[in-house]
Amino acid sequence: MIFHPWVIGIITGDFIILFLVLLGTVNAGIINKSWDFEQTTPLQYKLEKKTYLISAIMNFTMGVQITLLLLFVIAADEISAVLPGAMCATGALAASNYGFPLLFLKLFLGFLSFFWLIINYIDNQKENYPLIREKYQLLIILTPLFLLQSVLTLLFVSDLNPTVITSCCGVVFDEQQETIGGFLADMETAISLPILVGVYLLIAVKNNLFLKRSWWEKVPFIDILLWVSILGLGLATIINFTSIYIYEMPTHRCPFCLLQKEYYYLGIPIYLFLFLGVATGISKSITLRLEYLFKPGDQMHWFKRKLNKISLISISLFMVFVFTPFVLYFIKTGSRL
Amino acid sequence: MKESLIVLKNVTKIYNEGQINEVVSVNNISLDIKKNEMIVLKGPSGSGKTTLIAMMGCLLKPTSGDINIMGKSISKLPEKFMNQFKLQYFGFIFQNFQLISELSVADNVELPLYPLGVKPAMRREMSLKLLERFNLKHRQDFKIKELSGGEQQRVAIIRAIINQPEILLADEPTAHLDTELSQSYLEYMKVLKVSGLSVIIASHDPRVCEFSEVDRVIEIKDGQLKL
Repeated sequence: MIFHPWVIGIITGDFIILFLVLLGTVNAGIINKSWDFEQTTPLQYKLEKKTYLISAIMNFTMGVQITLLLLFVIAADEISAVLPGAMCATGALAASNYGFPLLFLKLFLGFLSFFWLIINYIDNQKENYPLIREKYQLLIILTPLFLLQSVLTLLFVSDLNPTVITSCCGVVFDEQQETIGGFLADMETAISLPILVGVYLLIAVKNNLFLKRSWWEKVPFIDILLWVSILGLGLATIINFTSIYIYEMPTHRCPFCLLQKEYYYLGIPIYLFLFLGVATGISKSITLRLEYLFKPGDQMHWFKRKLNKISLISISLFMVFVFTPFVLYFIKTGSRL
Repeated sequence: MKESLIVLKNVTKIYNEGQINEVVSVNNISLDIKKNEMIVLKGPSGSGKTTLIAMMGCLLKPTSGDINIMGKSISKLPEKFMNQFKLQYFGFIFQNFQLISELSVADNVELPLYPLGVKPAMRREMSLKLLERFNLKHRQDFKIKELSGGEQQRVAIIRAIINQPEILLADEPTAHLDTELSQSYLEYMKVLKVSGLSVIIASHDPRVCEFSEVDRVIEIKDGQLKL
């Protein structure tokens, strides 16, 4: 284990989140057990007061969890400076068996936290707490994942050894490697790019032109499927296509180096728009599902439209950023890599 | 038969519940206040009348029981909705008026309109209209500390009604006023009642309780209605 400031930072951050989630979960259990909105008993009033506080604490916690994803990548990048062989965050993550699983878990929890925030927001827009049970049940379901995150963080940092040589991104994302990184790098762009563009067009057209067609809205899982596909395809495209034009080197396919200053922090808008687009896109589908259950009225329609707009703008900007390096390279050289 | 405006069902308020300094301020009160009534909640200090008026005005939540105003169970509303309701339907007049002495008359009067999102020009228009009605237009730029007691009283009344409330709540409004000012205050309440407002006053001042326009005097002692 290295007592690097960032190591101490990510451990502290994860354990504060875990503490707050556990606090929320205990109270979520109490609220779920005894909640009866029709009652005017002292217990019910206490629970109403409690949910106000717990919901505010959880809002903060979930927001921090999303922010910590970015901080974790920055931390990995900083830690790479003390690990021999590591050139960027990839090296630090590859230095431990728990690095990449932890990153994927944080990404997954980031999305789930965002969905929790959306459900909580909708619940707070109504006078009778229509989603109170759902949001606290989701919190209870998420708790083991937050616990796993803390455990993985501890295992990851305790596994880091500055005397052991680790792999750099060139090795981890080598097409010849039989790893997820190698698989993504080896993906045939002649197939993956048309699929990415096709899914994007499908999402764009469907959400723009067919928003009022009720049968689409009755099957929101199709929407969710499309958004999950674009997330996977988007990440693959960053690795096997965009990165080589950013680095202008056919063998350099690192998804982290593009977050650095040398590459004008280009990775930040790329990932930001991809994740924001997918998170808001799936959230819109969730609101459609909740709308059928609770019919919350006009406020929900406004919110749904806003989510739809943000998701479409974000994913469109992602498409622009993901293809811009190729276009610039092509204009500059008249050829492709 | 007038329609019910405020209906309290078994309302209890306990402060510091379960602690050594626990106080049962309001104990199981049920009450029905009709539209356009002028009610006086009478009782000695510590009887629970301020707590009761605060609960009716969405300033406090009860420990148990239900408060229903204009058909809406306001005691069950989440904080955000309770505040919206309060801003929309209530006007408050506090003991000693609680005006902000460093602000001008117009700025004090306009205060309740800020959280309602009323535009600045509209705010000024509404305040000037009322200041004119209460003969205070010429004092609009004066600081509160530059006004006489009677003028301050009128500013407090204007501030309470600028949001065009349905219900006016006043807590010991005449506690520190002399006989003349108390009388003028009650005359204003009469005017407001005639204009359609429901007025609820918490007071132990005999001048208020004996005022001719008061429909009912409800006596409270030790947090309970005295029948």
